[in-house]
Amino acid sequence: MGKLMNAKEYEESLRKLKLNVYMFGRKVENPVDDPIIRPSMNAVAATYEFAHRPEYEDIMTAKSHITGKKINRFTHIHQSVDDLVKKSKMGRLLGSLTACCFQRCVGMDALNALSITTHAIDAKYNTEYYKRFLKYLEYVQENDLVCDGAMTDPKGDRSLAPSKQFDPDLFMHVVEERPDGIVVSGAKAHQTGAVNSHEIIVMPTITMREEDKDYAISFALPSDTEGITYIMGRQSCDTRKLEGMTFDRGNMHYGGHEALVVFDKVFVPWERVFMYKEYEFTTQLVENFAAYHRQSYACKVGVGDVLIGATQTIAEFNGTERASHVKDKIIEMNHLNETLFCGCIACAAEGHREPSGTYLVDVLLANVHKQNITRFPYEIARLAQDIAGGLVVTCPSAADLASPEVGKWVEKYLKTKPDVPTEHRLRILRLIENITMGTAAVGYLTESMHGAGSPQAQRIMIARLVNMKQKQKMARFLCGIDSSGA
Amino acid sequence: MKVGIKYCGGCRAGYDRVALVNRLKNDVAGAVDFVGPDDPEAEMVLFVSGCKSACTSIDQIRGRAVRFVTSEEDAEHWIREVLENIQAEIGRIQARGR
Repeated sequence: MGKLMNAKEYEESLRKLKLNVYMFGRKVENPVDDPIIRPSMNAVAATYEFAHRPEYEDIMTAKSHITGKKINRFTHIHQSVDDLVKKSKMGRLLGSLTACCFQRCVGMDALNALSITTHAIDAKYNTEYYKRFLKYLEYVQENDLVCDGAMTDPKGDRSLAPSKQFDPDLFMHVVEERPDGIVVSGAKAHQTGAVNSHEIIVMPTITMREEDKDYAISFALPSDTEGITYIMGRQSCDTRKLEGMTFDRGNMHYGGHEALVVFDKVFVPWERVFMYKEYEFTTQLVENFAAYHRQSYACKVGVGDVLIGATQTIAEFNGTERASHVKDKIIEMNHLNETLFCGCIACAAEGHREPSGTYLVDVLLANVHKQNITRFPYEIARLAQDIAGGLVVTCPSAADLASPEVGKWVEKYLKTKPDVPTEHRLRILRLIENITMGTAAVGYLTESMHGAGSPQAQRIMIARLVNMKQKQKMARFLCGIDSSGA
Repeated sequence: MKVGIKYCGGCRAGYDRVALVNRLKNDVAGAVDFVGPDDPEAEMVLFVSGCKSACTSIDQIRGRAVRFVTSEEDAEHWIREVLENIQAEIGRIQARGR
């Protein structure tokens, strides 16, 4: 076995990092214990802890193809269709155990996409990227590291190519080449789990052309490398976490985070560079990473499981669970959620082997899955709020329930049944609020919309990948326009 | 008798797999020792799967009987079999004694 860290060891490993983190305009000296960041650290820690639990390890662990050792699946390169299917199942499992973004899939997706592209570049140019990559992969696996897969540049004016922007740093680029490495500047936006990561893996964000070759770079660095700054993103209701461990936070254990990550003239040694100006491979890297990451939205099925469970619970607390329209709405929620599961399983089951030996999901089906993800969680959330009732946004705070003056009124007037404590009713409402409009809605809704590419990005891929000619051929034959077609 | 327990990952288990195994341990206490799936002394490995897909790989299990449990009913059947086998064995021992 390699170093299969547990949650405590992971937390301690983070404490050793010297990250340059800012939030609310101030430097965060201790991100691990910061009350706003801490729940997101707990969620990543869960990916370590559950790998040690017998009831989850079959999904949470894998056998390294380079060392033969048992490793956390988040550091694994998929070696079979079964690996791809288990990755989808892992997403659902962890989503259901945390009800938030557990942040670790993006690094796994970056590693798998790079395993294919570094191999392909070497095949064309006789370079040594794949050898470098495998050495790096072994380091990640042996130390059971969290990698932030950093793709999205700020992009500036969307109508202009990287080299045509008014500010060259709006896309990550090389600013200096040295004998021992390169110096890069730029930024990566929306970086999920960045502050909980040991490593940051940078990839180009769009297809690059020859004039943009200085932007066609990929590399990996320790997250606390000099010159890297993390600026935390705000989340709806984030400061509730500063109120102590009250149930107003909704999810008492877990959360997610994103950050704007700035690279200000950062040095990258050659052994950590995986693409350097081979612009013609940017499309492959971007599309494969996107396909893997669109599959990764399996996690929303798990969050959906929790939201459906919370909705059924509030219906029972309210005494509405036998109303036919409530039952039907919960059926609809399950139907939508399981349809999402179908997509992430299908794209995995239809996966194939690439020349590097890495298995890649079916790209069309991964895009279809993610397109559904941009829609169905919104409908599931709408139905949850419908069934929960208006109290989901109007109920008094935990402090009011505990108040010696007004607590008795909250207790009395928000009680539905003798055997349902008012506090339980408020707790489940706060969880629904958390997932549908609080801190977890960042992950469940807007990240579902824009993460791994906004809806239109999937529609472009769907249009490109469907075999329209074959569909037309069959139609023309069956209606008699053509005499052959089958 | 030693029986190894191997869980599936539990992504959408239809029942509480851990609670079921705890119940098994209680129901066949004294007759079966439950051990890890890699224990070389295990005569059988019980694959506790949360759904009918039973996706757990059995590649690591060699030279030992394998039994899948994919529901609480499956577990009941297995318990009955174990207890019936034990009863039969006791009967055989008693018959030899007479």
